[in-house]
Amino acid sequence: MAEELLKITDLKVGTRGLEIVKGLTLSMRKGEILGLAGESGCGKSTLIKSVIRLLAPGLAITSGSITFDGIDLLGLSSENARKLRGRRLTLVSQNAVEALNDTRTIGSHFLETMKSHVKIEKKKALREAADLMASLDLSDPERILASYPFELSGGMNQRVLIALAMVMRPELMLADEPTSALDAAVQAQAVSEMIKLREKYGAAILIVTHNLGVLAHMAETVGVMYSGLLVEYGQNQAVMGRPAHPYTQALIAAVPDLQGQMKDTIEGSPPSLGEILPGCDFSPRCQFAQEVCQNVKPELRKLSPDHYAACHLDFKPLDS
Amino acid sequence: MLKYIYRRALQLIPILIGITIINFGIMYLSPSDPAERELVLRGMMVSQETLAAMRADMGLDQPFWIQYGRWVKNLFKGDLGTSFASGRPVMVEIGECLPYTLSLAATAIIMTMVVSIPLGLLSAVRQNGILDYLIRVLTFVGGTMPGFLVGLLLIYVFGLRLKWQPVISDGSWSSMVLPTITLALAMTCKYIRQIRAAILEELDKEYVWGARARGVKEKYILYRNVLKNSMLTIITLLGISIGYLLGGTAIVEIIFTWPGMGKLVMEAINMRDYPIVQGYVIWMAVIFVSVNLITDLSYRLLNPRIRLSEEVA
Repeated sequence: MAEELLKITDLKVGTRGLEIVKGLTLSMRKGEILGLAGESGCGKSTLIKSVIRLLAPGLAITSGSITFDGIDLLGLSSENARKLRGRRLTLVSQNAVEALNDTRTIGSHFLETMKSHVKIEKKKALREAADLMASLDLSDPERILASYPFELSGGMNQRVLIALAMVMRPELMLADEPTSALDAAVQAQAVSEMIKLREKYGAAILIVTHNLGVLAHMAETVGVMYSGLLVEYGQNQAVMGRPAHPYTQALIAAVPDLQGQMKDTIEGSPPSLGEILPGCDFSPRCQFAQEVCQNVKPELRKLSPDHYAACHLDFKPLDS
Repeated sequence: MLKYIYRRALQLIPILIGITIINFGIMYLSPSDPAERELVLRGMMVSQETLAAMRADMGLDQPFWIQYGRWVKNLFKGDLGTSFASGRPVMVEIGECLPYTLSLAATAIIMTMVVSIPLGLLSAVRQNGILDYLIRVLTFVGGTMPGFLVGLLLIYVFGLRLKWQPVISDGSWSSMVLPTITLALAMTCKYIRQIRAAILEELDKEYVWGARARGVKEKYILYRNVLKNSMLTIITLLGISIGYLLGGTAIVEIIFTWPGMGKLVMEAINMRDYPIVQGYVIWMAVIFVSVNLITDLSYRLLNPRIRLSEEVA
């Protein structure tokens, strides 16, 4: 097994007694592409904002630890955390157009990012930025560098944002719904750009999305989050092909296919913030729920060497 | 760019025509008779004959449009007429007051900017901290104090009690201190609050978060991004303030006996000195149109979206 890059242990994040992430444990290897799926509000964005130490005001990490390549991220001073951000780990957010400053050129964005981490001449920095974009198949990098964000299309902005995040060659890129605002054709470009990052620069990618198609396509490992916890985790083919948790099964069944309309939707909604159930958080919506599900919290169990699920039910994974 | 300036300058013409006609009309209809006042001033007897003679002499017996037309014709020769009160050309009267108004406006604006930009920024960055609360309370109090009260308080404390400053200004540099503070105080308080609000709004935008996610230094985020984008708000405020200050600030000028435009026009209105008032109105119109033009040009400079859309169009 390759070296461990990121380790999250029993992480709890919340605000005034309400827990959003409820004791999550996760680890990533160097160069791994890990995808996290789940409904809106399941805590996936909060999770990656905790890793990058940029939680929204009011939110705080109440317990647990996050280590990155042996460094205790939660123990870092804010200046040391800043030095790490962008240089060794970085984040790409979903609204590329808003994530860039409209009154400054793309080139200035690259410059200020590079100058924040290393001493570098303007010319050299811009040439490096252009080379990076060219290596990611962005055409005419010089023109892009001289452009303002509003002069580029939404998809182009998203791809620029990914290149911008990678300019210091960080070992870990966190991607928060990086394709959700894009149409299908541009989505594919953004996804292949991210895959190229891993091939060329060996970057590990933690991608958070509700788009299962994107996950199935690019992730090696897939995690499914529900109500602030991982409910299923494992190798892509195992989780996508033989989903064990009823929530994962329902999520996959709900993906609309090209022939028809939406298929089976999941009835009900996740527990609201602060609502604490004694048993499994999914049990009120689960068609297989039994008495034990309502009273005891399920732990992640090993189903096969590369496949874990947090469910009391002892049935064999469904073949889909 | 030049074409744009030229087009904007052309817009000045109808504005000036409109303003002068309205102003001329109000003066024409006002009940007080400058001919009568002139006679009293010269110590001559006021009778039907002397009044009629004086009116004819001053051109007041002619119909409105003739009077207005003559005034416009002279305007093109650079002649704004002669002050009824002093008998001197209006150009000379205004020319004497202008340096005083310009210097007071300049010092007040500079002082306001120098104090309010750093404090507004500080207040926003330390939002809800002790310093922020202190700044907010003080600017609230300072912003609600009327100028004449501040002026009189300053004269009492620094002029009468401490005797650091002359009570009646002699037009020297040191006598500008109190009027400058009086003008700058209210403006500074207003500016700090507006700049704070603008910066907080800007700090809340996603690109700030995005820059932090890339580890961009906070000073780059603050000065090269947030402050730059907030400059649009600051320049809008500045445009309004400069227009207002260049018109002269009657109350402050009268309190400190500062011989600027505001004091000149107040006295002219009291004396029904039409030519001076007309000259002043022209000055104000020119000021407002040019300040607006400069403000718009700076928008284009600061916001590439406006600049580039103009170039394409």
